[in-house]
Amino acid sequence: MRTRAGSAVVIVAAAVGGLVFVVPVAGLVWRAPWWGLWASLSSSAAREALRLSVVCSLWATAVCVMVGLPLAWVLARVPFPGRRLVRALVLVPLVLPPVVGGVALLLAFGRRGLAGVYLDRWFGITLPFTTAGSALAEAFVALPFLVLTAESAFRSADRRLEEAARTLGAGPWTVFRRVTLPLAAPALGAGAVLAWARALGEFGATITFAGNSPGRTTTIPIQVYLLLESGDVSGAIALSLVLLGVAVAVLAVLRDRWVGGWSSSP
Amino acid sequence: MSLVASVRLQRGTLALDVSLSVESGTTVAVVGPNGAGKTTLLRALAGLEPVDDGSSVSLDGVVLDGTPAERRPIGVVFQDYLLFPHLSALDNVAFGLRARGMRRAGARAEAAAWLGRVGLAEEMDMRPSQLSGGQAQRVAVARALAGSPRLLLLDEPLSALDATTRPALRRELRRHLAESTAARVLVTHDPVEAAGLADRLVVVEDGRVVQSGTPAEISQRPRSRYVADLVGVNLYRGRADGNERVSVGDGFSLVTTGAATGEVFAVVHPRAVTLHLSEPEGTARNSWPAVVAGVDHEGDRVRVTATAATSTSTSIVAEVTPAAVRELRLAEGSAVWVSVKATEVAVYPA
Repeated sequence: MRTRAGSAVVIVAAAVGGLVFVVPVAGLVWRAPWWGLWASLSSSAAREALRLSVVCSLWATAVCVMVGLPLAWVLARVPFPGRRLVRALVLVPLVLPPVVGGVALLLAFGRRGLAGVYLDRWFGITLPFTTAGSALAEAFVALPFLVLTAESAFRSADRRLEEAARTLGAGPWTVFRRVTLPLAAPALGAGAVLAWARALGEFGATITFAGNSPGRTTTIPIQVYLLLESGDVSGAIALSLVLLGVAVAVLAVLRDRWVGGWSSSP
Repeated sequence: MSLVASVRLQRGTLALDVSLSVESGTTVAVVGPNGAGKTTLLRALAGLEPVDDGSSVSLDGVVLDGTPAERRPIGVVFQDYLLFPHLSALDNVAFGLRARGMRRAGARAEAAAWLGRVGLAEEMDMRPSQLSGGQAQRVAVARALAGSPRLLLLDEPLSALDATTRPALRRELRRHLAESTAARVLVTHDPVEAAGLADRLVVVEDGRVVQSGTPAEISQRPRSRYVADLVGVNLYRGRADGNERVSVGDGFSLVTTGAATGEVFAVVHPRAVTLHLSEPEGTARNSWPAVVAGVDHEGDRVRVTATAATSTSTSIVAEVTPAAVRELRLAEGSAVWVSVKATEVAVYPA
C-alpha cells in the first residue's frame, strides 16, 4: 500500500512538473491576437526590433564563433596550468544573473571602465548604449553555449583519424581543416545555433549594458517588455510568439542531439 | 638496405627495444603475443610515438629521427583502417596526394586509378560506412600505397575481416605488396598471414626480439614457447649430455640421434607422436606412460595433449585422426602410452 501511495505521489508531482512547462506556452498561444498579428508585427517599432534582434544576434554568434572556437580548441587540446580555472570561468556567464553580467560589462567596457577607458582614448570606441554594445552583451551570455559544445566535440573527436591524416602527409593546419573541423561540424553547428538562440532572447545584460533606445538597442525582448509596460498586451504577445516560434524551430533542428542523447552524437 | 631502425621507448609496463632492418621491396612481419609492443613499434616507425634516446630510424640512408609523421615518406594501413568517415572512397585515397601538394584534379585522377587497381572502380563515391569490410580494407591499402611510400607499415591489415574473405584479400594484398618497391613492415599475430605475406619474420616478446629469420627457419627451429605454439610444435628446453640424451627437467629426458651437448632446444612435431593403449613394443626409443589432459578437434585432425605420468610438468601434443581417438577411446583423464622415434626429435643449441 505504501509503495502504491508513493508512486501516486511521484506521478502527481511529475504531472505538475510537466504542466509547469506546458501551461505558460498554452497561455501565450491561447491569448494570442491571431487576427491582429500581422498588424502588430508590421508596426515600425516591431519591425525595427525584429531587424535589430537579427543583426545583433548574428553578430553575437559570429563573435562567439571567432573567439569561442579557438578557446574551445585550446581547452580541449592544449594542456596548460590553470586550464581547469579557465574552463570554470567560461561557465560564469551561464550561472551569473544577466543583469549582473550587464553591470560587469559596464564596469569593464563603460567609458570609464577598466578596458573602456583605453577603447575610448585610443580608438574612440564607445560600446555602452550602442548596437555594438548590444551585440557584445549578447555574445557574453551566449559564449558558454558555443565553447562547451565545441570543446566537447574537439575532445571526443577520434584522434587516431588525425594521426592517419598525418601519416598521409597532412600538417597540423591541414589536419584541422580537412579532418577535425569537418568531423566536429555537426556539433559545432549545434553549438552555434544554441548560442544564437541564447543571444536572440537576451534581455538582462543587454538592457543593463546597452540600454533601450529604439532602432539602436531595442531588441525584441526589450520591446516586449516595453509594450507590456505601456499596456499593449497584444503587441507584446505577437513579438513573444516570434521568439516562441524561433525556440520551437531550434528545438526541431537540435532534436536528434537532445532526444537521441549526447552520448550517441559524434 | 632500405629501412634500418632501432627503437627504444618506455610506455607504462612496456619497455620496447627492437632493432629492425628491411630491404626495399621485401616484407618483414613482426609477430608476437598481444601487448608485446608490435603496434607501438609500428607507430614509432611512423613518427607517431615519441622514442627515447638511442633510437634511430633511417630510410634509404636518410635519417628520420625528429622528422614528424607528415614529412616521412610512409604509408600506413591501420588495424581498423581509419578511413575518413566524411570523405568518399575517392577522396580518402586522394587525401594523401593532395596533402603532399598535388592539385585536386590530378589527385582525384590518380586516386581513381588506384581504386581501379584494387577493384573498386564502382565504389568510388561511396562513404566508408557504405563499404563492406573487404572494400574498406582495399580502400585503406590504396590510400597507403597512393603516395608511393618508401616505407609501408601494415598493422594487422586482415584481422578485421571475416574468415571467408580473408584468404582472397590476403592473396590480393600479397600481389599489391609485390608491385611496390617500398620496404614493408607488417604487424600480425596470425602465423598464416605472416608466412603468406612476409619474406622474413621478427618475433617480438615483451618488447624484445627473441628470434628472426625466414618463416621456414622459424617454424623448424622455434626458440620460444610462443613461437612453438604459433607453429604448433612441441618445444622442450634442456641439457644434452653428448650421448644422444636430452634431459628437460623434472627427471624427464628424451632420446635423440644427435651428439649435441650443453643447453639445447628439442622439437617434436605433433604428427610424429604416437599414442597407444598399452606399452608399445615397437622400435621407438622414447616411450612413456601419460594421462590425456585435453582433446581438441581441429578440422579433420585432433590434437591430444598428454601429460607424462612420472613428470606432470612435461606434456606433449600428439596430432591424430578422429578414427584413432575413437579406437583408443581417448578422453580427458584416459591413461595412454606415448612414443616418439629418436629420429623425430630435432635438437639445436639454445
